[in-house]
Amino acid sequence: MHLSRRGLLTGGVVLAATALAGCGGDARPPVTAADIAPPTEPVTIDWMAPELLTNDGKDLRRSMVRTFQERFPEITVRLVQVPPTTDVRRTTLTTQIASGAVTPDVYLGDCAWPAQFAHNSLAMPLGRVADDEEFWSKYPEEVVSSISYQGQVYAFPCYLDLAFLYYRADLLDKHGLQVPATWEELRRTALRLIDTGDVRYGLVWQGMSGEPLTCNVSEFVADAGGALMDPDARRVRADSPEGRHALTFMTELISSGVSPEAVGTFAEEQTLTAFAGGQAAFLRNWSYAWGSANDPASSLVAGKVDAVLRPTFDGAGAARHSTLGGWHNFVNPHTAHPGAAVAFARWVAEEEAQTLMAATSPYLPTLSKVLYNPEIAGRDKPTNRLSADADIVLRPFGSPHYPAISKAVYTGVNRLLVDGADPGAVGDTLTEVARGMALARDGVAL
Amino acid sequence: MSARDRSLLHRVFSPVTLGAVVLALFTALPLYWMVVNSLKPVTEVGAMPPTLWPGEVTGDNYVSAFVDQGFGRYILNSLVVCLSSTVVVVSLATFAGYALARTPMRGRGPVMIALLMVSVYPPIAVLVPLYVMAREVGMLNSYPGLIIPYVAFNLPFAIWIMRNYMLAVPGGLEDAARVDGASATRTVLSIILPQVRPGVFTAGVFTFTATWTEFLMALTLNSQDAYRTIPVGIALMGTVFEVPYGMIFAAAVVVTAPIAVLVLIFRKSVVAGLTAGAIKG
Amino acid sequence: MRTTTGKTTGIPAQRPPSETGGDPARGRGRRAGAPPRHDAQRRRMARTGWTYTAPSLAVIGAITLFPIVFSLVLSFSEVRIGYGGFVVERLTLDNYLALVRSSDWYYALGFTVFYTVVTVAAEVVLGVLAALVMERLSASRGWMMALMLIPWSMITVVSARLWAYMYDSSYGVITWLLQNVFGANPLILGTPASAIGAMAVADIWKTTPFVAIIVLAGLVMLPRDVYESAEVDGAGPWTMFWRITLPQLRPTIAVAVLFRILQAFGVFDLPFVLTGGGPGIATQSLAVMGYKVLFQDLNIGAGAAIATSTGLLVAGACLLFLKVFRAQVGKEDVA
Repeated sequence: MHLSRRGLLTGGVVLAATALAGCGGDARPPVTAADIAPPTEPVTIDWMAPELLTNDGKDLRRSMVRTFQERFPEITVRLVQVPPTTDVRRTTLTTQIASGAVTPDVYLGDCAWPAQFAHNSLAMPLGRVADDEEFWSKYPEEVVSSISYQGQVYAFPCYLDLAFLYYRADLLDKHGLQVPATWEELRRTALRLIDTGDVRYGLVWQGMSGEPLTCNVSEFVADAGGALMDPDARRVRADSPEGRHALTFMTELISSGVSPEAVGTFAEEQTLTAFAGGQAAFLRNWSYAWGSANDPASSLVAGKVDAVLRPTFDGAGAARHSTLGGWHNFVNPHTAHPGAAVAFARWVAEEEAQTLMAATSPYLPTLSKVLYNPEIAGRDKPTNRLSADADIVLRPFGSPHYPAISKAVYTGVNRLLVDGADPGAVGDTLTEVARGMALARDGVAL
Repeated sequence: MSARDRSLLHRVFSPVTLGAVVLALFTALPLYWMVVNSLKPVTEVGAMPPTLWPGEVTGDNYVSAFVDQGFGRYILNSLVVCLSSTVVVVSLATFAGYALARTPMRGRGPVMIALLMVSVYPPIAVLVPLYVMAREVGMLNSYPGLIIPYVAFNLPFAIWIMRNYMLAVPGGLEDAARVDGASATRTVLSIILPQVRPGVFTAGVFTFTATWTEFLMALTLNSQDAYRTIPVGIALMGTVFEVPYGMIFAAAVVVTAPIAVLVLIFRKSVVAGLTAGAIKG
Repeated sequence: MRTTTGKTTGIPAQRPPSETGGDPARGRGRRAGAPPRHDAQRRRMARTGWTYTAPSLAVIGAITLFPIVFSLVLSFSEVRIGYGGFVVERLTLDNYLALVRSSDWYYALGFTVFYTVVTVAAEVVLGVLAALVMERLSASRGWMMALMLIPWSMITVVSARLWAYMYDSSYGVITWLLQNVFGANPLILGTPASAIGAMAVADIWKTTPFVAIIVLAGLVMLPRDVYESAEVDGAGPWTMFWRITLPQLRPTIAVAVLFRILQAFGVFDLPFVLTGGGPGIATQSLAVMGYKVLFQDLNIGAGAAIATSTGLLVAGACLLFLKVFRAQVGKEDVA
């Protein structure tokens, strides 16, 4: 930094004015074949990813990096610390990459990010790689569409997440009850189990004001046969009979005592704590919960748990819905080593890494061949097996304003849940949510 | 209850003593809790019920903060940024404060008001432009990238303080120097400056404390690990699965203790400065 | 510094030849030239004044005034991040429309005002009480002051994490106390009302000392004789406090209040670390909301609108306060 102060000030003013005028230089062509040629010289790249725990509590990231380096000895991958919560992680990541920083070269990001990150030039468009149809045909179509934006692919798949209904198999056996196939049946079963005094709550799910609530709402609306929005994120369909059906049922879960009043403050962690502590009979949660609920060190119900796909409403057919979650590897558009970065991100998406992940961790691989192969994941883990039959619900990721759209959903519904969960207020809530979603879609919401 | 009864009651319970004890406890207990938990083994930090004194006093948290986490780096970054900012702010403020207090320059009033407005303007309101400017000149994640905004944002208040101290210096001093043929700058440095040493100290303490504790700009402008300051380092400590409170408090004790000792030593001047800055301002 | 050079070269005839460097000293000229008239010296001094002030004003202007204006422009623009920097797509009023249509913004505004009023009021009352107590202490006063200065000098992020630990619902000492002494089973940071209260307590702990020490200094400077004559007249301690102490302390308290109001209005560190603005948006201040809209939603234009409107509110409040304060002080001087 050998800038004189005057140079700095003038420079700052001039350059800021330039940026303001919109001449910031926006051209970053999608990767070409030359860009992604694996390096021949030794290079080091930084990978920013939250800790991923294996089945025996070790760090999956490290074992992946170790194996990768055996295949690509010239590429060294360094793990970068990430901030503790998803929101803070996203802000540090966006400020860092928007600043033009060349590191991290690769980062693991949520499947809800691609449109927003692509729109704001925070992820490298994978042009050349994306043209390789054979490569992408190996992944579930919904996964590929969730990481695409305006015809470009922006991430390499890493792991996907689906929602399941976890239940206390021991209690159902004890009272001679069936695994419920519909929500109505689940409500009856749950109330009976509460009456027996074996559990305090029937069903716990994520009602806290945040992204997981949007997932829960999307699933219930899909169960009722509707959707919050068209897949292309243009038309808002929340204020509909299906929407009313879903929200009414959610409020009745609370008013009938099946779900605790505090469900409006529950995120994944609190629901898992309640279930693993033996307080709840049913739990809606992601695939990782299988491992935690069956870990004797942290769960009182280890070995007494089983999982099925979520039920649906009476007379709604055979569809078993789950929102699509998951985390994928994005490449920093400013990376100094696109070849090495792409090589690593791509390797994680391919068979060797995906097999390692399926065999040693609770995360669901994205590669169809591995995902649906019970030999790899182990027969005692139902989540992999079940995922082949799940009907995937896509959130409207196609909009760069997705975070604001989702916020309109979860703030509105959360208010309904914590303000007494009155089924009479469902209509007003839906009107407000639909209005908020439309404003968000048009980019005029906060 | 009559006034007489009330005062009798007060005398019996000695409200002063009672108040002093409550005040001391309310202030000291959280501090005690921080120190004690930095000395507990990891499992005991998360124990319920909490233990009032560590079952086994250990320095493990300090080792993990400094050896595993590299917290020393953040301290170094903070020292570089805060000391440089303080030196620059105090030097610039000395001359500006002199000018505003003791020269007949025009527009002093508007300048003072403008300075006051700037010093209260919330940093969030200028964050994005600062970020854009720093990016354009390549100063994100660098020392000057943080020092320059720190100087700009702390200068107005420092100028106010220096001006107030300068006003109190007797008027004849410069005239005598001027008759001796000393330059204006030399007059300021050798005649005026010694008179306002407490002011320099006050402005310095204020600037240092403000920059030492600043979080929002540091978080935004220097988010990369190598340039993080202490507040950012402490705010971002932890993983998805656990918050390492023992380690956080170990780091917190190490950064709070020296300041506490300094405050203890310079107690009188800090208090004098604090009150002078506020009351005269 | 461009300003400096411009000013000095404007009047070359008065510059002694020795002065070629950046040294703005001009007093030396007196001996060389003829004895100057009074206003010539005044003018020189005024120039010196500007020379001394210019560097500071240049830095402040470039790093604060310019961004304030820039932010204002951004708040009227649709912005996205490009590879090379920010890209303004078009000018628009949408950001402010979004603001006035957003119930979150009204909540954040209301919360910030409410939080400011409550914490500042509590801090002033407690600060005055603490100062009254400290004034009556003799030997231990210095130690008490030193103790109270520690929270004040602490990094807010550190104290926020300390309080977050004490409030924690599974191993926090305050949660434990409430459970075992009061039989409650609280989720302190999990429900809106208690989270707001918890945040206020953490703030009061850290900032009351600042108010107390300023008020104490004011107390010490109050003239003794008024109290003595009041005592002769048979006034009790409460009467003396309300009739004599408090009115005289008013200017001191006013300054402390102004400082605290301006700080509290921009509150960011504490909610960001302690609660993340939650649960829901219960503790989301304007600054936290602005930060999230800017860097989490990457809604730069709307974030700039939040930031700019907050800034203007603070500046407006400050001007208003100065006016009222001046009028008040002026009246008292006359009386």
